[in-house]
Amino acid sequence: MLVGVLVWRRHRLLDVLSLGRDTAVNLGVDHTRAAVRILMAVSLLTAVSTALVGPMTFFGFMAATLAYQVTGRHEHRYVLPTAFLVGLCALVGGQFVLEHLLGHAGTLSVVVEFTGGALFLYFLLRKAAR
Amino acid sequence: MIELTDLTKAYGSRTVLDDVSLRIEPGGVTSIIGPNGAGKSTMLTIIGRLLGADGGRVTVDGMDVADTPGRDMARRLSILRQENRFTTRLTVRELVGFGRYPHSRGRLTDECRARVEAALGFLDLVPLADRFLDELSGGQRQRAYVAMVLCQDTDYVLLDEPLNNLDMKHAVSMMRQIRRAADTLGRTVVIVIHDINFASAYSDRIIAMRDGRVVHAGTPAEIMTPEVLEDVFDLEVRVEEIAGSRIGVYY
Ligand SMILES: Nc1ncnc2c1ncn2[C@@H]1O[C@H](COP(=O)(O)OP(=O)(O)OP(=O)(O)O)[C@@H](O)[C@H]1O
Ligand SMILES: [Mg+2]
Repeated sequence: MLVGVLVWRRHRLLDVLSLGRDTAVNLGVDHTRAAVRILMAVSLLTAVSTALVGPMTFFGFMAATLAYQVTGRHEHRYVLPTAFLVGLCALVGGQFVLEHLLGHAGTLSVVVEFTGGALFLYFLLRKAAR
Repeated sequence: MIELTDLTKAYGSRTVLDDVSLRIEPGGVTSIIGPNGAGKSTMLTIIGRLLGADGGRVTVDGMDVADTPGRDMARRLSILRQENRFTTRLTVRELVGFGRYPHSRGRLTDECRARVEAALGFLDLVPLADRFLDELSGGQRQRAYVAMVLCQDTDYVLLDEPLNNLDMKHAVSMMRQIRRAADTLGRTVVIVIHDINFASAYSDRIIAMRDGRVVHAGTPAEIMTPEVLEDVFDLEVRVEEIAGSRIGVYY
């Protein structure tokens, strides 16, 4: 949670970094330091979420991609909270459907992995087709 | 003042900057010319601290570019590379707004917005301001990037081939904006440029490079001679005085 907030407070820095290293350095960003910090935050977030709900390879990809699609924007101001909400809805909603409507018919992580993986393949193929 | 002392850079065993020492006085427009692979971009990117040197140092107003905090440097010197990749979907106005980042950390003030609009105007980008970068032509995108660095409002502006992809009209207007930045805003502009005639007509000083060295430096009148140009480019060039500028003819 804390890490999430820290990342959120840096959303403008993330926007600048997405312009590429050279432009970011030109605009006064210490690129190496920023990259190390982001990697640290990402590993921490991944570690915590894996510890809590188990490994889900494609879940992050799914949340991020859907967030880009939903917002139609690139600014992290919009993308970060949307990805957060998408992730929350998918997990809580998925768990609810499984438990109450399907009567514990399977585990959520299998479903998430399947849809996330399918989405990943879809985007991969669409990129390749272009 | 930009001062280079014994600057060297090698890629593997190939030396691309060979012990370059140079001073660029504040004010005016300085053009760097020279054949492909002479080391012009390498020198400019080292001055602009996007690349580290192997030896020697670069100072800007006495500050070493390699160890001055990034944000301080970014308010004093801006650089635009020969090629710029981008991964995100941005509009022209948003890109130009990023030029204000060193001053505002991403929260645009009213003054920032005014400067963004002014830069868009100078580079003839107002009709394109809300278009996405990936929907522009190469020359339109080039102008958007130049608008971004002008918006950064730095004393020193380094531009690597700002005329890339520009048509005749926009090339002339780009050079006029560069002149205006130097003359009325007091900026020190250093550009890498291939068209020796643009260099001759619009700059105060010309630096000629070949094989990783500065081989000639001087006023356009000193550099625009058949002897110097042949020495730099290994090509016979006729030089004529036309409308007050020395023009090289080399077709
Ligand atoms: N990343 C790199 N790795 C290896 N060699 C490089 C690299 N970048 C540049 N070089 C070499 O360094 C030399 C100088 O390159 P530089 O880009 O500075 O030339 P330039 O004068 O800007 O040329 P141009 O007019 O083509 O832009 C060239 O011989 C080039 O091949
Ligand atoms: Mg070059």
